[in-house]
Amino acid sequence: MVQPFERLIPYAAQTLGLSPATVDEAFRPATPSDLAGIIALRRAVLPEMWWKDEAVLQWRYFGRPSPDGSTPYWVFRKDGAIVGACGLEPVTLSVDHTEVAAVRTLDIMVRPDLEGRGLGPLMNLLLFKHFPILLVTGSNDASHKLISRLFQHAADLVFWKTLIGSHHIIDASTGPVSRLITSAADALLSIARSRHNVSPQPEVSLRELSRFDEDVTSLMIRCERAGRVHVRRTAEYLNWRFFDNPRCRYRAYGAFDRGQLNAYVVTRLNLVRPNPRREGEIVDWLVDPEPEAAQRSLAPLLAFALGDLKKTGAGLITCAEHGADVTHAAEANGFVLRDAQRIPFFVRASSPGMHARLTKGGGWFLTRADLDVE
Amino acid sequence: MRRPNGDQLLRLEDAVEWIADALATDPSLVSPATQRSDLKGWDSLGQLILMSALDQDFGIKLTEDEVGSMASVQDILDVLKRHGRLRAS
Repeated sequence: MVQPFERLIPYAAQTLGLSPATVDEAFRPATPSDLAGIIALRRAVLPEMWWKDEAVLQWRYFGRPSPDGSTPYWVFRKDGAIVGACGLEPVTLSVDHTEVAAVRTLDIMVRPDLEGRGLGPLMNLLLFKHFPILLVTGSNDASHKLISRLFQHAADLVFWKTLIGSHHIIDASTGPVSRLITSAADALLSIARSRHNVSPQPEVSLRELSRFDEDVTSLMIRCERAGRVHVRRTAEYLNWRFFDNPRCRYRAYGAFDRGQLNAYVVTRLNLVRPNPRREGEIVDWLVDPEPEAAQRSLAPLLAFALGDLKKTGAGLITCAEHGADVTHAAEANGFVLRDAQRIPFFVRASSPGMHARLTKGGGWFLTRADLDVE
Repeated sequence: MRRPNGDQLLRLEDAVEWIADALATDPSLVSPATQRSDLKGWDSLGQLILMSALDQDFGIKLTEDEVGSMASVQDILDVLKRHGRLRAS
């Protein structure tokens, strides 16, 4: 169990020149009138953004209220200014086939002149008072350090990688002969990939999806069972998370086995951010838990999605997961497990029983969609 | 954490060990010259834990200036000395 750090709240208040009585009121859900102050804070913390921040804020937070109607973006006010903030994503967990409300924390930030004063820990401690289950991953070493003490480590996402195009990896290092080398390298890659037989069976059809519908909600329900912990993926959630996302273009694909959606895969090739190796990502997927579904549906579907990534110029493809039933499909498509590269995933629950289940009980299904980093 | 007894004055080496304990750090990595930036445990959460420990173990409540100016182990030792908890060397 994580240590009870609530005793530290008065000291955090003191370092910020606030009284313990006012600190609760200082940290509250944002309102639309806070938008200018939020943007100013975010520009101070992240001066180089490759995305249109106001559009992302509207999509992620202001356009999708929490179940209680509040904005899932909390701001910390001091002396009339917004000096800290934390984004939240309300999710529904399926824990051993039981529905449980949880919140992902992401986008936590502190105005640079107040760094080191305890505002980051304070915001986390105050969130613990409001939300019984919090999920978090850290995006850098500094955040990992803090998160690992306030939360409990529950799982690590590991990385699978495969190379489907060599141009952007070889080109920079080999100069004028690069075209010759990359052509040869790509030919070898194609030969290597052709050895993986991932053609779908006749009754399985593969197609790109323009939106998710209730078929995916049905698939999700089939995946929820005892021994597993999923963030529930409904049509509404997936459409919002991927198709409505202004930060990046996502593509989704479905495998239909005798007309029933048995698997989906979501990919992205984000060329708006700095991406010299043209790294594409397998961001999310689900596959029916029926024993042969991974082979019948997910493996050929992954191949189908990789084909489109190759057509759009992707070179290296990565896939991060924990417990996500992807081993067969990944290996069938030439992915190699890079076990040394990991992203830790942390949980905190106020109920000791739920905390134990979520941190030590295993069964987490995690993909890159469970991270906030895009 | 080994708590000091009552109003016992700490020897320097005991004070350094107490600081290492408060910051959940290997004592061999801590000396009066150690800077805050050298200690993984002395991040913003570590700072709050230190403030709590100074209060709980010594009854020392840091002022805002003291909080803002602590950048080394020596600074913590100076706080202990100013509050009469460090034995003169």
